[in-house]
Amino acid sequence: MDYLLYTGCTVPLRAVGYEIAAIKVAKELGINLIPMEEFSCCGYPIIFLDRDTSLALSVLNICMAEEKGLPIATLCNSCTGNLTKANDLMHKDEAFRERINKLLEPTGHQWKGTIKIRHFARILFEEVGKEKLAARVTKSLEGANIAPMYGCHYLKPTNIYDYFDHPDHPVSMETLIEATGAKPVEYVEKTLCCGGPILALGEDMPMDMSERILTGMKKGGAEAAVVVCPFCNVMMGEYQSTIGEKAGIEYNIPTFYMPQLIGLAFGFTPKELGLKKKQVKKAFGDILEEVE
Amino acid sequence: MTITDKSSVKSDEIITADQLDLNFKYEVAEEIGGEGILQCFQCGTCTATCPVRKFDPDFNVRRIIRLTLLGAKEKVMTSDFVWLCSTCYSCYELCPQEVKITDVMTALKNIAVRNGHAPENIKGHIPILTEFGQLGEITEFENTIREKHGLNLIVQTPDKVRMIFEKSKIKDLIEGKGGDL
Ligand code: SF4
Ligand code: SF4
Repeated sequence: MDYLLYTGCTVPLRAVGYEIAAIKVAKELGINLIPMEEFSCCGYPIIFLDRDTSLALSVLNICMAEEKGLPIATLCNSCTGNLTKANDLMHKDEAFRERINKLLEPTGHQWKGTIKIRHFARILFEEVGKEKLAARVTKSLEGANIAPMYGCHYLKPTNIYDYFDHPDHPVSMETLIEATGAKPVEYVEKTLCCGGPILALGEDMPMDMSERILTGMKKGGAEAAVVVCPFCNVMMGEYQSTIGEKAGIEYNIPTFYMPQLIGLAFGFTPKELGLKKKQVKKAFGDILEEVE
Repeated sequence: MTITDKSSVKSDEIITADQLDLNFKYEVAEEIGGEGILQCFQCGTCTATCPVRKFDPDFNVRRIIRLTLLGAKEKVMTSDFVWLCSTCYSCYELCPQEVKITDVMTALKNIAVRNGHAPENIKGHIPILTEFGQLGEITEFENTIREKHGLNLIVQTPDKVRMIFEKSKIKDLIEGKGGDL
C-alpha cells in the first residue's frame, strides 16, 4: 500500500516526531508513506479570510498528488479537513469547480478527481485494523490508562468523511489504543474542540476550552493522552502546565501522537519515534521494563 | 420587572429598524457556504452545543444568525463574535435545519474581511504564505533534524501559492477592497 505523506505546515515545524513515528509504524505494516516533494499549505489557516482561495490551495496539493497517481495520507486534522472538503466540493459542486479551476489556471495544474485523502489514524483503523496491529505488538502496554483525544476535523463534518466514525461516540482511537494492550479512558470531553483554530486571536479562550478536556481526562484516570493532530498537541501538551497553573491542577498527563504510542508497543525506542526518554518513562515507566 | 422595563438592556444592544439592511440575509445566502442561513428556525441547538459559548456567554451563534436574518449587518460585521467560532463543526452536525452553521460563520467572516474587518493576526498569514508557501520557514535547523532521522529535506516552493494569491486578489480582499460597508 502506497500513500503520499502530506505533512502540511505544523508537523515539520512543531511535531516532527509525529512524522518520524508515522513513517516507521507504517513501514512495519506494509504501508509506504512516500514524502511529497513539492507541497504547500493546505489553506486552512486562511479559510477565515477567503474560502475559495483557501480551498484552491488544497486543490493545488491534490492535483500534485494526482499527477503522481497516489492517494494522500495526512497527519494534521485541519489539513485533512480542508483537503477533504475541497476534494468533496470539486466532485459535487459544479460552480465551485469552475471557480477553483480559474484560480488554478496560472499554475498549470488541473483537478481530475482521481484520488482520495485519508488521515493516517483512519488508515490504521480501516485499512490495517486492530487484529493486524495487535499481532505486531512486542511490548504490550497492558496496564496503562490512555485518554484518546479526537479533535474536530478528524471526524467532522461527518458528511465529507463517509460517516466512518460517530461524531459524538467515536470508537476508532479507542480501537487503536486497545491494539497496543492499553486501556482507553472513557470521558465525555474526548470529542471537544481544543480551541487551536482561534489561538491566533488570543490564548485565553483556547486555554479555557482545553482545560475542560484535560480535567475530563484527569477525572477519568488518564496516565497519558494520545492525539492525532499537531494542534491538539500544542494545546494538550505544550500548554498543559500553563493551563494547569491557571486552574490550580497538576495534570501530569504526557501526550503522545498515535503512531508514537503504537511504535512503543511495536518495540521501537523512544528515540526512534522522536520521543524523549523522560516522557516515556513518566507515562509507561512501570510497564515497559527498560526504556532506552 | 415588568415587560416594559428595559433597564437590564444596554442601550447599544437595542437594534432599531433604521439600522437594518434588509438585504443582508440574501447577501449571506448568496455567499459561498452561507446558503443555509434562511432555513434557520431559531431552535438554539447550535448555541447549546457550542464549546466557545461555554466560556463566553456573549458568543451566541443562534443570536448571530438571528441578527443576520434581521439585517443588523453593521453589528454583525464589526463585532468580535464572528471570529470566535473555532470551526469545530459541533453545531453543524446537530442543526435540525441543515443550516451548515460552521460554513455560514465562515461566510460571515469572509464578508467581514471584504468590508475591511480582518483581524491583523490572521491577515498576517498572507505575507508568510507568500514568502514560504507554508505557514513558517523551514530552515537548516529543521532540515538537519530531518536528515538525522532519515527524512527527506524540505525545499519550500511558494511560486504556485503566489500565482493563486494573485489570481484571487487576496491581498486586495484583506485590505477591504471588495466590500460595500
Ligand atoms: S441549530 Fe440550526 S435551526 Fe437551530 S438555531 Fe441553530 S442554526 Fe438555527
Ligand atoms: S462551529 Fe463555531 S459556532 Fe459552531 S459550535 Fe463550533 S465554535 Fe460554536
